[in-house]
Amino acid sequence: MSAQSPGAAPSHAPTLTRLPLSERLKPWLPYLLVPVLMVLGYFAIDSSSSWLTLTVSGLAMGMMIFVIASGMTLVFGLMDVINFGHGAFISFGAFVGTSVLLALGTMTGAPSLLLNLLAITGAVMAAMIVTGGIGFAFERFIVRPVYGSHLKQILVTMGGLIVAEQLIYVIWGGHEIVIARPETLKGAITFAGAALEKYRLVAVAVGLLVFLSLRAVLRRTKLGLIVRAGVENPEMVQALGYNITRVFVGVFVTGSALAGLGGVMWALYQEVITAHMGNEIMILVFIVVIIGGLGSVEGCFIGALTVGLVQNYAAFLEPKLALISNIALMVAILMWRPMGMVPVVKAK
Amino acid sequence: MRLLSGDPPKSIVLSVLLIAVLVALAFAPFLFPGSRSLETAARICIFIVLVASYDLLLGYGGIVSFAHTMFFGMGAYGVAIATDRMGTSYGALLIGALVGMAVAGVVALLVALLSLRVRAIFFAMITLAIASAVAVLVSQLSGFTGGEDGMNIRIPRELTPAFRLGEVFGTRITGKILNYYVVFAACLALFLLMLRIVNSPFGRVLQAIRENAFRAEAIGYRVVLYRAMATCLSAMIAALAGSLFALWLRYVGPATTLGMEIMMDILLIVVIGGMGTMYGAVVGTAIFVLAQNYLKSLMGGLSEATASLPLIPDLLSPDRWLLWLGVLFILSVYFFPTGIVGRLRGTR
Amino acid sequence: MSDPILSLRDVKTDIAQYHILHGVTFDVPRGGVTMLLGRNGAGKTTTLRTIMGLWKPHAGEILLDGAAINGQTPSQIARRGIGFVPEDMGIFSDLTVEENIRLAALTGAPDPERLEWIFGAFPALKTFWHSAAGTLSGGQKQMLSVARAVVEDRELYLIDEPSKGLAPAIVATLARALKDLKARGASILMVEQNFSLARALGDHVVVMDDGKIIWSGAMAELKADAALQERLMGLKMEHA
Repeated sequence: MSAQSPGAAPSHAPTLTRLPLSERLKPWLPYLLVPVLMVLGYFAIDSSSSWLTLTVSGLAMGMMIFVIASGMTLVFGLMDVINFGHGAFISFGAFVGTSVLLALGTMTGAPSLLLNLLAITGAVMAAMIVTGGIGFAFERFIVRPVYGSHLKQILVTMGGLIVAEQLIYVIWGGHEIVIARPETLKGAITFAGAALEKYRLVAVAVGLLVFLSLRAVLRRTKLGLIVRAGVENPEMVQALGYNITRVFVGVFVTGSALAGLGGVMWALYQEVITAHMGNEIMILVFIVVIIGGLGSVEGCFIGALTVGLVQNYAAFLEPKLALISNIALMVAILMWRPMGMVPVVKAK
Repeated sequence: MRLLSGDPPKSIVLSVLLIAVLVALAFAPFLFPGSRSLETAARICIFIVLVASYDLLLGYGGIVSFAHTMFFGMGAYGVAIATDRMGTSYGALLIGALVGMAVAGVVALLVALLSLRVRAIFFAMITLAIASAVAVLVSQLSGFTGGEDGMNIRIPRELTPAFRLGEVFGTRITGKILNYYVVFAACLALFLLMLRIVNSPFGRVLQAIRENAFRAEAIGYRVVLYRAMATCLSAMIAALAGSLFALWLRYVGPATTLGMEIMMDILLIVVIGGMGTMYGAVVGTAIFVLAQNYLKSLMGGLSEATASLPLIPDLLSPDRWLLWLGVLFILSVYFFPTGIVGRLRGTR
Repeated sequence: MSDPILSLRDVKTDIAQYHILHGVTFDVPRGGVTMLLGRNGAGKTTTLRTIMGLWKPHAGEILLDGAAINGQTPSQIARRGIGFVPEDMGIFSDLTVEENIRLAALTGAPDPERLEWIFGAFPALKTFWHSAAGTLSGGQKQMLSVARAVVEDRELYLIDEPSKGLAPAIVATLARALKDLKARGASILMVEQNFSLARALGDHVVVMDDGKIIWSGAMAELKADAALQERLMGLKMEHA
């Protein structure tokens, strides 16, 4: 007890009970996962230049998965809608973006950064507009009739995925399309003895930009407030006077457009696209949203980076294990935190 | 009636259809001579079991799994690997089938406990991720599984076309026909067993859980336990179907047993045939396999007839049959959630 | 009772396959507090949720200020001028106190003068202004829920059992705030099980049982007539 002058009102400043360090650290543990993983990777990989290369490529991959997965996790958080057809937006984005880039061949082939970026911007815009539009139709005709039933959602969105994938075959034909990166994004720069591909650095920057903008919208705007409140208790948001359905459509369309952006990024990463590429990426996306905590954008970000790093480190250390490394990661995290790393509070 | 476990078709048209399928399959070698139609008949038998075992999970348990082909493949690879290691004998076939079944059961239990404990929808995502990883793993571990090429299986001579027995009704009885009857009898037995399971007290609890998991839990049923058991049973029967498939084809490979396309086929058949009816698997499979053969040629004809029009021939190309199936699938989830069997029985 | 702020006319609501409201008819007069009383399961919460549009009535009419609002969505009804304090408080625990309040202000930002009034009534909210609402105590959450409903002027406030599970000191704080709100001319429809609080605040009384209105009138009338109290409150209010 500290001495107080007699007569003075007792101070009402809120004091939190001091918890032991381990308890206070607990909510922050997920945020430490990525740095811890990077340090572990550093000790496991003897050459520090290889480590740097792998880390950058892991982060690039993680960022792309995050861009794709963020919309899906928000859609689930807000309306409890699980969209197995999300992969279709990735493929459509990749095909539209690639078509635009191929059409702008003179711009991508020129050794001018400005022209290259202009071409990519055009491709990204086209891809996002198309996938956003498809997302709008998807929500209206595929998802809306089956609100409230997970079983039907899984079935119907899976059906939507099949149809969308087949449409890609109809429009672009069945074969894979090769797409070269624009001239100035080819090759690598050398940093601390490590070769870092330029494009991967761009991917990291774009992913980070998307994450920070999403966070800023969610934290600082009224719309973000509505979305965050809606994830917890959509009914109360309505009772306060907000049309949650309209907000949801907006989130769905944004999420689809982001998946389209991710599709273009992925296309330039792999430099080849196929109609079922969306499906393959979706497997990583599912792992990411599960370990991140369905509905949480922060969890999705941490989960995506974790998956990207684990995949790349494992591929270097033990190539055969690369595949199951992410499954093992998912199992381990689910055993540690069954609701994912950043569990989302839901009313009722 | 005892054979049907007190669950008659309850519709005249359905009864006629079922008897027609049964008679056609029972006398297939005599009614439809030729190796191609025998091939189709055996495929129908095995798929009826595979689809029915999926219905046990989806229709009766209300759980969506994307790992059903993985379990199917475990049975098939079990037989292939056992005969490869132990030499050709009935014992090796049996041990392979049993080991495949056991592995499928254990894996299913682990996946179920990991995911169903948290949320039923996790199951769909986790099975999708695991099944895809396993499929890739199988094609990589070529020393063990034959990789992409798969494995040829040497089965006892009595079950191969080289074995001649004589002639009945003008049809030459070969080992291939004996093999067909082994497959047919086993499939019939497995189907009747599943009919018994879904009409047992266990099956009724499962349906109660599907209708209202909260209420079932409140009454005192261990929901997770029941669902996990359904998953195990379903996986084990799928594995047995896989063993039969391997026995029949004398070959196993990733594309014929593990592919996502087969998973999609199963899903489509269950929904179109009628979820939660068992008989839906029979009717759905028969129609699906026949449609696959004949509709494709019809589409080919239409596509050629419209060759002068833009886009239409691409949409009608036989390769795009999955597109129309996907549309049919979505529509049936919306408008005929109980499928063909539900329609015939006059329930909604 | 001429020109009521809210009128329910033979409202019937089903939840799943159960009939909960079997034709509810009553008026909420303009200005003052109308107490909706009745035992557990009588349909009080369902009545408030039906007015709010959170359950859809399958028959009857709900008039706010003379215009029908049944069939509108909850957000439309809220914007017509109803502030709502639900039974479970409906706090967004991931949001801070400030964010909870800001979200409730449909015009954009809360009016500073109104905020001062809220802080005066509920000092705890000022103390924890930037804390996550999930870390508040039960009583503080209830204060936040009420503050959220009253951050802007509304035609009518629907308040569902604010005293539920709270310590007497906190109930007293809430009662003072609600009395102050009433003095500002607000119209309030409130569900309450705590009869002493109901008696202190209420001007009008509507008593429900089994999905129907069984009595309505002035609180003064109910206070004066011990036999009537016995008959109506015997249904539930043991601790009157």
